[in-house]
Amino acid sequence: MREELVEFGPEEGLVGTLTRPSAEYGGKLVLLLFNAGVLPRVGPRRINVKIARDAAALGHTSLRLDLSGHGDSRASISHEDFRQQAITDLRAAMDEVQRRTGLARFVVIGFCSGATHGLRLALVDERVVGLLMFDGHWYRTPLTLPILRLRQFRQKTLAEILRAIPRRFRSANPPARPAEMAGIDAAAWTGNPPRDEFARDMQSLADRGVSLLAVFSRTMISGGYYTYRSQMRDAFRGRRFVHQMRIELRSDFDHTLTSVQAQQSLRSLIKEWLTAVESGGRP
Amino acid sequence: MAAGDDAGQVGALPLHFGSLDRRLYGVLYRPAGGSGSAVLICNPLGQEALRAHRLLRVLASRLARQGFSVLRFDYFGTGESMGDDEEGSLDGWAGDVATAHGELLARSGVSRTIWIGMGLGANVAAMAAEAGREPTRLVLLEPVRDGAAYLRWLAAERLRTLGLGPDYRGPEADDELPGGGREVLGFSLSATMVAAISAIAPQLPCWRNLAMPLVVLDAEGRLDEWVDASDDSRVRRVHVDANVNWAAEAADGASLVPSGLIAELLREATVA
Repeated sequence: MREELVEFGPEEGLVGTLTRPSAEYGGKLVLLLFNAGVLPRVGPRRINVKIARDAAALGHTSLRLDLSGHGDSRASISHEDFRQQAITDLRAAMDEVQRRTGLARFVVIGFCSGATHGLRLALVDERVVGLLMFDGHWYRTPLTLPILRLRQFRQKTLAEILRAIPRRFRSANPPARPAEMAGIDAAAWTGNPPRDEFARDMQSLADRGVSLLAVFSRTMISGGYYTYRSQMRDAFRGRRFVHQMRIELRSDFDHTLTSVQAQQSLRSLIKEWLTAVESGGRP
Repeated sequence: MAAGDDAGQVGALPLHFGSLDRRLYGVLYRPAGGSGSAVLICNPLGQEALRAHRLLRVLASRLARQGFSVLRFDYFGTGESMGDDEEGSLDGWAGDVATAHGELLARSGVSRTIWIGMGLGANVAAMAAEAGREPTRLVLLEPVRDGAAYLRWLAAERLRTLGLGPDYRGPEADDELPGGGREVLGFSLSATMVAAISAIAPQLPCWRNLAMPLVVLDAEGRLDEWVDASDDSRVRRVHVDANVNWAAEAADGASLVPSGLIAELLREATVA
């Protein structure tokens, strides 16, 4: 494995680390990794570094980059809003990798607000053949909150249940964002697109053959956003795309992968998924 | 972050340096006009380094605008440097500080250097200075006073981040790794590293054997006992109203680039 620094972009202000496998890498995938909220390109708990080096061991190349104004990259002098700037930056990253390596099949891994960027990028650039959205867009169903309550009920002792009865009449709604998520991406969270728009976009990608993997952590459960595995399928009942994608609801990791075990679980999941993407099989 | 801080990124050069088997990553700032001095920034540990990244980037930019050459870098096994988490060691990191110092001198051409160490990075900087690579001046921002207590605090932060109370005793409370290491807010520390941190003792301040001018910055009064017990006239307490938990996930309303802290660090770096 070898890592090299790259500076690129229209203003040469973007900084990234290109990780290449030791062996000849023709025909393999390129992973695109970038900032989760305000963190630098190494990712939460340095997870992007670990994922990139895992990928290299499998023969894949990766570029982890700092978007404009984040990490070690300069802020852009353009007047694009931050969402469009992210897409511009990511396309520049893909151009740079393709120029250097000749590789043109990209897999985008987006954490939280990065999931939104990944989705938007995939829609405008057909070089994206795989998209992993970690704690990305969520849509509740009539079952979402009752299932959350049931989970919470099962975890409580009788004393806790009795103490909670008065509070029940004060507030019935979960907070807008769990506290542990706010610090990561409060500035970047753009909310969920309208359901029809999301469904249309996802169907477009599925029809193009993009491998789609949505991963939800237990933080999404406790926050009342995504509380049961088939929630996506229920929310978009009748839509084909939900049967053309893979959905993982994982209680063994939290939003920021606080434990080493959580990181190992995600890394294993990604390695398995990359193998499927590479072979063109089901995600 | 104040408007214009990123202007200081002009002239910022990301680079790899060090030996092939211990390659380090850093960002070098080269001012248009030089002050004749250079600043080396030494990161805190793990999650604290991630959260302080923007603070230290802004600090580096501001220093560069004042004419300093600046190098901020990642120790081996951290950040963008080679190596895995568990390959880090305090001795190794002190060696990395020496390597970074040499790189900074070679690229800047200056002879006067100031080292700014934050958290455990302050202890590492002091170790490196004691081992022979002496800066002209040392700025220690909240060095670890009691290593065992520091590890306990990090363990409690880990439980808090996981949403588990301080009295939780379930399986997720176990932060031990095979081989005697420990995981600290998602980063793996080897048994050697844990032992070295645990050996940091309040009665043995990290600067006690150092001859160069230095200052200890105390952000929240945590070092009061330590500083009061020292009769070393070179040690000064400067309270900085920062109130940031650098190990936390959420900003909890605190700025990640507290202006008061930036101002104090700039002032200490420019002391004659």
